[in-house]
Amino acid sequence: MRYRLKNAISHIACAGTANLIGIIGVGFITALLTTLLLNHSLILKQSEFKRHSPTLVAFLKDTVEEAHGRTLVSQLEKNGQILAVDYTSKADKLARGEAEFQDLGVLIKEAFAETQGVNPFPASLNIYVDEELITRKALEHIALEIKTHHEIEDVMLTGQGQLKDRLRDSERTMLVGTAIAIVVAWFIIGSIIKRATVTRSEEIYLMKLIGMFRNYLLLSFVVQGLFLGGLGALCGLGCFYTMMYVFQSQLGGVHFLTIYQIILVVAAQMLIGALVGLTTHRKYA
Amino acid sequence: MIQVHQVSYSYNELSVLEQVSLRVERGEFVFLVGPSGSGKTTLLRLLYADLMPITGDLSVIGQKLAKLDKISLPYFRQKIGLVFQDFKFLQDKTVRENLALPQRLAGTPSKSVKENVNRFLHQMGLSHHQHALPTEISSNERRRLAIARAVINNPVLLLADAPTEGLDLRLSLEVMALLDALNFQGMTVFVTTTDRQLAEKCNKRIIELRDGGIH
Repeated sequence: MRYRLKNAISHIACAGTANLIGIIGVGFITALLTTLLLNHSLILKQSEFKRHSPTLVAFLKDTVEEAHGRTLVSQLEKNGQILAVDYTSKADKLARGEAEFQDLGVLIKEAFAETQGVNPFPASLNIYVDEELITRKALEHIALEIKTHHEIEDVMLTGQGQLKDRLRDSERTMLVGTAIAIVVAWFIIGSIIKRATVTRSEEIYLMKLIGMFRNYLLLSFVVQGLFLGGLGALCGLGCFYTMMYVFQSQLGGVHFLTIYQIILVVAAQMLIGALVGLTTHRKYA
Repeated sequence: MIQVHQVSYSYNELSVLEQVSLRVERGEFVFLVGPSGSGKTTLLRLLYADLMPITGDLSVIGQKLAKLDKISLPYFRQKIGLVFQDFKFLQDKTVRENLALPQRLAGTPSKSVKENVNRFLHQMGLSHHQHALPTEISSNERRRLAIARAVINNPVLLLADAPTEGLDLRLSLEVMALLDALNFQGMTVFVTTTDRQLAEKCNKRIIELRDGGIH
């Protein structure tokens, strides 16, 4: 086994500086993949944060009585696309405003009433829609439909639906990006292993002549694949982390990948490397 | 041990062997003599299944070569010792590592590899060069190393392609004495050479290959 490992290391050395180019290539792909992963994690986190907030908030006119507002709730709930509607009265809103802004809540209310003639804490309807099944366009259509009710002053999209859209887009981008990354990494690692094989072709020919079994070189090929994939991934992550550290102030609160994500990225690249090694061995050795 | 029946081979349009037939019995020492380009190396390559004949049948150590597949080929080749005309050493590996290669490929345990390599290095007088590269030893020592590598796995058949090429008569006879000793131990030896005089001096069976045919 020790001899075979030694042989595998000398197989890696056969590719010479091409190994370095391979590592840079795999590293670059890893960095791109990390960007996509980070973006996805960020959107997922935002979406998680807003999970319990309503999709739409409809503000009632100040003149609308509570009984009237509650009638509107039951009317809206008849819409099949709306999951639930919560009514929040003016008193509740004011209480929340006071809790949130303390004494300023009363001041804000009075100031608004004097200057704008409106209540800054109007009664509102929190509207929940099943966003998994609904598109952004459909959501806007529902909002417009709600706005046609004369009791409604304004309807606001909380951005939850928008986040879901971004999450879906990010998932799609991740999928396409991962597929491209696999193909490119496969090509890079495959080329480097092939180069090492070409360099060793005379040696391999001799070994075949004196009775080498077909699987004898398998370990060398797989180890080179693991080496290129693993080291490339680590270099890519290292460079990405350094860049994040340097531009920390511009990036704000963006955090680097979790340890599980790092392990996943490195393991995935190593797996690609091992598979390329296996395939190249079947083809050339 | 070796049965060649009506074998023909050509490189593209150039015919090298035509309807060649020969038979070598177990334990024999046979010289295949012929001028350069007569097809000696091609016949040898056919015998260790590096080439496949265009027509005819070959049987070596009881194995019909036409029936060899990828799985059985290494097992077949491990039973044959090969001395190449250009030696084919791994130039970046030491004498010791080159000698150990057939044993490693055969999966011999490390301890046995070490013992066998030491024994052969001693027998061939190469112990003091064990850590040298093949390019750092003399031509005669390289030849001895090539023979040692060919027989370290104790094959039943030794195929040697022009092992005395470029040597004077004294050194050629030294090499032949070495091969004779192996033959004495029961190994079948099949040697190609352009030097008919040397073959006659050794007093062994001679097969002459000329113009692609046996004469």
